[in-house]
Amino acid sequence: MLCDTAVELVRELQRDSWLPPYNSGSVNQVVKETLEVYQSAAETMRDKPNEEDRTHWDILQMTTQMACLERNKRCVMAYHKHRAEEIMRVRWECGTSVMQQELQERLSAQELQLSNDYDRLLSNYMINIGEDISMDMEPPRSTKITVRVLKDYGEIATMEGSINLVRNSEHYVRRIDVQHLIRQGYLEHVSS
Amino acid sequence: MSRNALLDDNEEEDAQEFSLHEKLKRVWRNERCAPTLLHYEAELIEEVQRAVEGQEEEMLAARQTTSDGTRLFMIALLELEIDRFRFLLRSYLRCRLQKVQKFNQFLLSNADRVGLMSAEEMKFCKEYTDMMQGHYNASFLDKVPLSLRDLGKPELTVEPPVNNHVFVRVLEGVDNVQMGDVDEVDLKEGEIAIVKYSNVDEFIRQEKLELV
Repeated sequence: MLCDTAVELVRELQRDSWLPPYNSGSVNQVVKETLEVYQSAAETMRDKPNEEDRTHWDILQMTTQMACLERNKRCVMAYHKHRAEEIMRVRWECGTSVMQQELQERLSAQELQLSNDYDRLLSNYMINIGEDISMDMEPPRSTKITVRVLKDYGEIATMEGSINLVRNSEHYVRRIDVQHLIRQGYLEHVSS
Repeated sequence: MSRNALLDDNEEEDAQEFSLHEKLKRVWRNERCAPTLLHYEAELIEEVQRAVEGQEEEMLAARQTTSDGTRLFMIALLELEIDRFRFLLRSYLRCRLQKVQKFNQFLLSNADRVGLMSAEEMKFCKEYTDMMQGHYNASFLDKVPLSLRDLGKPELTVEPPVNNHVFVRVLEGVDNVQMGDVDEVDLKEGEIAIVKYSNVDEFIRQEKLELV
C-alpha cells in the first residue's frame, strides 16, 4: 500500500536505544514512490487539463495521491528531524565535538556533516557570547569534589598545580577543572 | 563591584550583590518556566558577566596573598557563590538557545519575534535554519519534485505552546485577569495561581507576575 515504507521508516526509530543505522534503502524507496505518484498525478492533469473532463474516479485518485505525497514527505522529514535532534543532543551531553566511533557508524554521510556543522555553529555562538554554556550543566553543590580516575588520562593543569590522572587514583579537585572529564567518562564523581 | 565586601563588612555592596542575584534568579526562573522565548535581558546579563569576571579576579588575587585559615574559608564560600552565579547565567543562556533551536522558523517569521533574541542568538537562529534546510536538501529533498520542497507551510512550523497553563506568583496586584472563557479574576499580591500563559504574558513582561 502507498506510504507503508514511509510509515515503517518512522516506526523503526523506536526500536533502538539511540538511533538505528541510517536506512538509505527505505529513504530512496520512499523518494522513488513519491516520484511515481507525482508523475501519475501530473499525467492526469496534463491529459485532462479541464476540470469538467475529469471523472469522479480521477478526482478521488488525485486526492489520494496528493495525500500520499504529503504523508511521505512528513514521514521522511520526521525521520530526518528526529535523527538530527538526537545527534545534537549527544553533542550537548558529551560536551565534546568528537562522537564515539560506534555512534558515528550509524549515521549517513550527510548526518556526519550535520554533526560537524552543528558543532561549529555552537562553538561560534559560544565564542561570540564569551561563555562556555556546555559547562555547568548542573547546579553546583560545592566548589571542590572528590573524583576517581576510571581511565588513564595523563597530566592536567589545575589552579593548584598539575595533577597526574592515573587509573584508580582519587583526587580532591575544583569542579570546574574536571567537569568536562567527568562527562567524557575519564573520571567519576565520588559522593561523600 | 568589590567582593571583599563579605570580608570587609560593606552593607551597601552586599545589598547590591544580593539584588543582582535575585534579579538573575527571577529572570532565569521565568525563562525556564515560560513555554515560549522571552525577551533577552541584555543589560542584566552584561552586568552579571562583569560582576562575575570582577569577582573571579579578586578571588585569584586574594588566594595568592592570604594564608589565614578563616579568610581562606570565606574565599571558598565566595567561590561557591561565583559558581552559582555562573550556573544561573549559563543555564539561562542554554535554556534560551534550546528554545531558539526548537522554534527557529517561528522566531524568524516576523520582526517582533526576531526582536526577542539577542544579536548572537539571531545569528545562530538564521544559521541553524539554513543548516537544517541544507541537511534536508542533501538527504532527500533535492530528489523530490520542486513543488514538494516547500518547508514554509504552517503545519511544518513548530510553534511555542502559549496556551499551556503555568503557575504564577503575584508580585503586584492585577485586576481582570482572564480565567477560562468568561471569568475574570483580580489577583492579589502574594497569591499563587494557575493561568493560561497567553492570558498573562503581558503581566509577566511588566514584572507584576512571575513564573514559578
